Amino acid sequence: MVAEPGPQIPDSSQVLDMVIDVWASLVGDYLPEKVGFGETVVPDRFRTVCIAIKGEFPLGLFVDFASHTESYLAGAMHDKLGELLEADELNDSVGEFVNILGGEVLRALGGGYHLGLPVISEPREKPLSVPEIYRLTELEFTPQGHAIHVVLAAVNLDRTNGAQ
Amino acid sequence: MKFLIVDDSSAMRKIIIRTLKQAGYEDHSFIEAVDGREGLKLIDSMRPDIVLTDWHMPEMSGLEMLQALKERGSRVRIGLVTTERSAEKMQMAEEAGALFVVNKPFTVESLQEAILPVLDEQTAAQTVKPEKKKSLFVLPHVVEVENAVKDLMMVPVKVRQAKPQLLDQRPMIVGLYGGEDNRTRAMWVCDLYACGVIGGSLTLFPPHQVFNLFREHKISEGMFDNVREILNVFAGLFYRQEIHQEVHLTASHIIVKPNPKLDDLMTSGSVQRLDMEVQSDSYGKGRMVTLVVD
Repeated sequence: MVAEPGPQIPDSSQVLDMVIDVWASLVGDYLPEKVGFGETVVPDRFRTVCIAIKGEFPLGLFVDFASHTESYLAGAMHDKLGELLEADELNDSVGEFVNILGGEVLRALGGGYHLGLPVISEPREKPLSVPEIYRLTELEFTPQGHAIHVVLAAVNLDRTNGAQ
Repeated sequence: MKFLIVDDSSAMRKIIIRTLKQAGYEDHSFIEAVDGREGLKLIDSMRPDIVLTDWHMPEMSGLEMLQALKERGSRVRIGLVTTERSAEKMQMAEEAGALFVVNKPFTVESLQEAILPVLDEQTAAQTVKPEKKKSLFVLPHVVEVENAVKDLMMVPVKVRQAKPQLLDQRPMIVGLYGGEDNRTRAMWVCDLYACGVIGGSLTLFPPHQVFNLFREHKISEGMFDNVREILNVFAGLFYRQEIHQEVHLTASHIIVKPNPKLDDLMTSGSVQRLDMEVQSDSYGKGRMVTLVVD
């Protein structure tokens, strides 16, 4: 008897392409991937956004934004680069980013999956740590000197409280 | 022409409007609604020519708004801008009266491609194609690059203009340049060998160390630091006096994997580029390309 095939989990280079496309669409800027060393600025705060990918094999998409990256993204999306942003504007921007990225992951998974609503954490000193055993795909994208850390994990967010 | 943009995300409404303006609808008017309910009210009161709506929104979704309009027999032209892509959802959208669906993330081209067929011929003809903006940055001349290199290096390095060529070997170093808003407007790409030539010549790396890096296809941390310092100085070469904007290196990256987007950019006819060959007696020769992408 042949086992039913599971979902086609996108690998890190596929997810990186998705992140670059979403970034380019929302920010209107092209930034090539960052690989290797060269990082010079240590991020101070992080915000995590997670979204449930519901289906036969439930998944969770977790995205950590360094505070600098979050501000840049929200500033570019709201045409307010360099200005002080409201909490609503920050939440709206990172939530929309992850929602669109989730849509791209859905496309790669094929049919039978749908997205939950994005859950946005308060800023914290460390990025969210998804236990390694659950991580399926993981990557970093580094626009403007700070990383966006993306993890696609075998986690059923319907049974959890989202980003902790 | 009047556009109504319906989306619960204020950022997405701004991005859709910005993209429509980039697509040539700069002189048209835009109104915004936060959900389907407000969208219906504005369709009644403002009579937009075309409506672009999100699918999932609180209070009333885009699909529910479409269904309500269909029941009323409305003839407003309406399309969805959404992450939904499944055939089932597309059929639902079509049955509810959506004339087009634009998938997020979208580009100027994909948005324009979706909208144009639903515009009447007269409106489409009136749509002004965006004129190419004058770039904020100027492409440096090879002589300026040579002079900058001469001032920096401890040994002679020749710089000459070369024929355009795709730099497809990895690793390479890419420097990104921006103005006050930090948007990337120019790039400097150095292949491994150019990194060896300019990075090695800056602080006189022992040639055998540089050749080892060539052999192993690696860029060491010291080499990266040197190249970054040089790229930093090259920022001044993009400066245009009339813009009065400080130009600076916003980021520098080592690229080790194929990057189709970078390749597309380097083969695009819409960017200004200068291809160069750099050569020194101690470290051989390599290739650099600088691009003004804005």
